[in-house]
Amino acid sequence: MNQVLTIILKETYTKTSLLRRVRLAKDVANFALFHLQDPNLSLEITLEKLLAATPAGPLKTQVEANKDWLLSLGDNFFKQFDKSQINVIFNQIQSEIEVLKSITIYLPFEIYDRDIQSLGQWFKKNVGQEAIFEFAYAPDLIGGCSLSYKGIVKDYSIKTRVQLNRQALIQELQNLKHGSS
Amino acid sequence: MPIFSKKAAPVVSSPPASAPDWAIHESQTLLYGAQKKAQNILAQAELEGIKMASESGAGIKQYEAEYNQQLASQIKVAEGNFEASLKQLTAQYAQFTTQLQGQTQNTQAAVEELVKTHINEILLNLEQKLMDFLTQSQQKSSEAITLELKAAQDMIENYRTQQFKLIDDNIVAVLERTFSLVLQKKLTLEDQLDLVYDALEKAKAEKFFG
Repeated sequence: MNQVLTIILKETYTKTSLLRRVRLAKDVANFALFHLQDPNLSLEITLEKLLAATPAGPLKTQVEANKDWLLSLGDNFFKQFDKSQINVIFNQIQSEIEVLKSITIYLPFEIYDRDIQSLGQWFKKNVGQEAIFEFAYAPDLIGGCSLSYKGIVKDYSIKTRVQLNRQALIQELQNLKHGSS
Repeated sequence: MPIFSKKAAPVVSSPPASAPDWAIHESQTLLYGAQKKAQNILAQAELEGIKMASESGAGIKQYEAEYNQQLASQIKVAEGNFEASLKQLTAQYAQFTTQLQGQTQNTQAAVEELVKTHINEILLNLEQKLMDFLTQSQQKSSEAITLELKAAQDMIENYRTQQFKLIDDNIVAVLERTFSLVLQKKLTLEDQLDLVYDALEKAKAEKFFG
């Protein structure tokens, strides 16, 4: 796997977030290479210059939102790119993202960022460092979740558990009826 | 003209019309025997008279007188015999008639008794057959009613089962809906996350992630 992608994946858990961060990293690298043209500038200064040069919009918002993560990558991360290879590297990363272990999790509730991180760490630990996931909101599941991976869906929701126990429930109701009659 | 006139035989009363054939036959046999006897006596006297008339021509008158006397005497005897026989016969017939009447009464009583017994048997038999028929009819009716009842009960049971099935399905649907509404409200985010982690652990145990 590409070294850049491996670094990005370390603290990135969802596919949406991964795509966004890869794009952001590419934008920052492009800004440093093609606008600043000073490889000795620290990452922090580079980001400040980027924010100053960028009009209000999605890029500026993303940079502000992910500034801590960008800084966590370190100065050396962006120094590995050069003008001639940057597109090749990011194209390769895009290709590798397509084949990553991407798991879709259907949840019956809204999940917060801190919980995403916690879940993501579980995936990194139990499935693999390259594992990423996507969320989908499915309120009819009641509780638990449903998982989709490589075209296979496994339902571990309360709704399915209730349905699996439907016959047992009917039998219990019949027993109650017979008991009371 | 005959030498002597034949006296007509006395009229004997005929047996009652209700007498049996064998009784009539016996009485007629008795009468016939008496008549036959009387005729034989008359014929014999006539023959003797003719004989005497032919044997003696001269003393015919005397002989005729004797003959007439003898004849009268013979006729008288014959008449006497005849009357005696007739009286005896009449008495016998009367006795026979009385006996016959008695027998007829006995027979009638026996026949009546027999008929009565027979009728009683027929009535008893009829009663028994009627009772059997009624019992069979009752049994058949009872069986028919039982079958109808069973069919009706089966129909009700089927209907009830179907209705219960519908109710069961509806109850389960209501329960599921209630679960959904209640759990969604009652489950905290922490509970939900615990359930998700449980699910992930289960998926991992089932090697869902490869």
